[in-house]
Amino acid sequence: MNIEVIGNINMNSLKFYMKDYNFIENCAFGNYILDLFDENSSLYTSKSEMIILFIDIDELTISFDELVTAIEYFIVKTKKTLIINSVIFKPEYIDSFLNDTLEKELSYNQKLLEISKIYSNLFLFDLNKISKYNDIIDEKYWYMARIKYNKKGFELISNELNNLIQTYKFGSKKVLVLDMDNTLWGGVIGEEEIQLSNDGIGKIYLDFQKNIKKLKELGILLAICSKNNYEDGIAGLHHINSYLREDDFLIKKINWNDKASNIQQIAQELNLGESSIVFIDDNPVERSLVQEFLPEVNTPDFPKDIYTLNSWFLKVVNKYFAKINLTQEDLEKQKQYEAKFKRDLLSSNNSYEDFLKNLNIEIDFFINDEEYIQRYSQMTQKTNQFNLTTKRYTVADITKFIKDNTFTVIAVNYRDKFGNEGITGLVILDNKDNYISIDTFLLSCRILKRGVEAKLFQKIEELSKGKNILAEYIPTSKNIQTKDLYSDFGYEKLEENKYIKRGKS
Amino acid sequence: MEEKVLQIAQELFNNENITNESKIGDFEQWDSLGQINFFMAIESELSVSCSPDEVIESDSIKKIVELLNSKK
Repeated sequence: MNIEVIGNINMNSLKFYMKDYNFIENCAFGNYILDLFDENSSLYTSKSEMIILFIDIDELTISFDELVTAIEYFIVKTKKTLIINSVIFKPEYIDSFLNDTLEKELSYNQKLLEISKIYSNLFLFDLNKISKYNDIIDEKYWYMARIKYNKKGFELISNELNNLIQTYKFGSKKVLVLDMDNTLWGGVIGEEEIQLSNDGIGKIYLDFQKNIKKLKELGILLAICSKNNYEDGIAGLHHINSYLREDDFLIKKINWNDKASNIQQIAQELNLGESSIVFIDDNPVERSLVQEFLPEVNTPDFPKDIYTLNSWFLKVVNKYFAKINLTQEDLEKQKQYEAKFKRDLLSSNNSYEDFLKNLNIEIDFFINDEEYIQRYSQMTQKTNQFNLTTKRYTVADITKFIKDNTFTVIAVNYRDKFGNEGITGLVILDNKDNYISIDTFLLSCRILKRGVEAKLFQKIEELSKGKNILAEYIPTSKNIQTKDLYSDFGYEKLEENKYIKRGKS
Repeated sequence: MEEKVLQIAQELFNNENITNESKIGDFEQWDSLGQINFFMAIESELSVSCSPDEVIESDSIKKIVELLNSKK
């Protein structure tokens, strides 16, 4: 399975602990909110099936409501599955001493729990459980690389995530296939008066039928696979006390064929995999036959004590239909939410643009400025992803460029309402006699897709004074996302990976 | 010590071709993030503590073994 990790702390280390999964590299660290809104971001366009969004509440710079909006936007717009952690204020952080964080923590988690029930593709990961362990945090790596957990922490988190992903993989069955005699009612129809009523043992079966009906209302498909004469079986569904009616079942295999073939046909007719079927039958012989011939079909043991039928069924639902295990109240909320969210989406046609506007972005340029040469050099050494040419320069190289009139060094300082990101972009222009060549073009991942690219291109054009601008993309294993940058900004392709912007003079 | 370090690296990076000649950048998993996770594993499994400078500078199996031997 392909997984992407995003969040406000660096959780990319998870790939070392969850080796069964393929982690897709993205540029979302620190950029996660924008990426959740941006339908062109890797989160939307990559082949990942699951996104792990990891939020450290102590480090959250946006409001919690903004976070929830971004999550909802993403999961409504994409069908990908998102895992979000429950939040916990860590006791070693000063806010936890100074403020009463309990109330906040409770209300935040309440909200996350609520939306995880509402959206079938949103899962809540219980971080509070992990936080009860000692020694899972290492402050050194936090300051070195924005990594909060140590090896033990990552091991615990990976383990928990694994469990959750397993539930996701196995807990979303689509079809419930049922036997009839001694399963949907007591006794054998056509031979005796069946037990299905409002009292005695009959009530156990009636309650069972009501529970099955609830599953159907939640979108689970129902089918019958039963060895009876067809007319007898159907008569059971027309029984005066039968809560489930004939038209509740999409497919009815009521015949004397073996059940494995019948179930196989059900899967084919519904065009679903056998693994999405749960088969309930009181007869152990039938169950083991299905288990043997159709091992992918889920065939839970039937309870020996019929009085436990309904509590047993609840466990079955939890295991195989986990995500749809919702109350009527949840469903009502789900409807209200969807309606409200669709309204909101319609009223603001482009949340991403809105979000950008509200960031109050300020961009400053430093041209041939010597003050931050060290930082410039460091950026060329460290930036891998949004780096068009990946040329590495020392402090001496940069100093030479700045002193040398034939080069122009442009640095970008980015600031928004959440704070100053500092110098996070660098362009080096090589000024030839008749044209300008872009030697280096790099940006920190943290400030991507906020209009900085466009401003930089404007600046380059301004400085080119009407000359042709030549540009090159040098592919590496990490910078694939910048492949189309120049064509996206109106540069003309000369040959593979070489571009030109023709000047006016 | 070298054997232990190699074992940690092979397990962490899922790569059996790591030798005492290997260094950062030799293969995709051992990048700057890999370096940090390598030290996390070393610190946890060998019960040592290394300074940020040591973590950054000891970027080959040789240097790491040297560093750990000096801490004994």
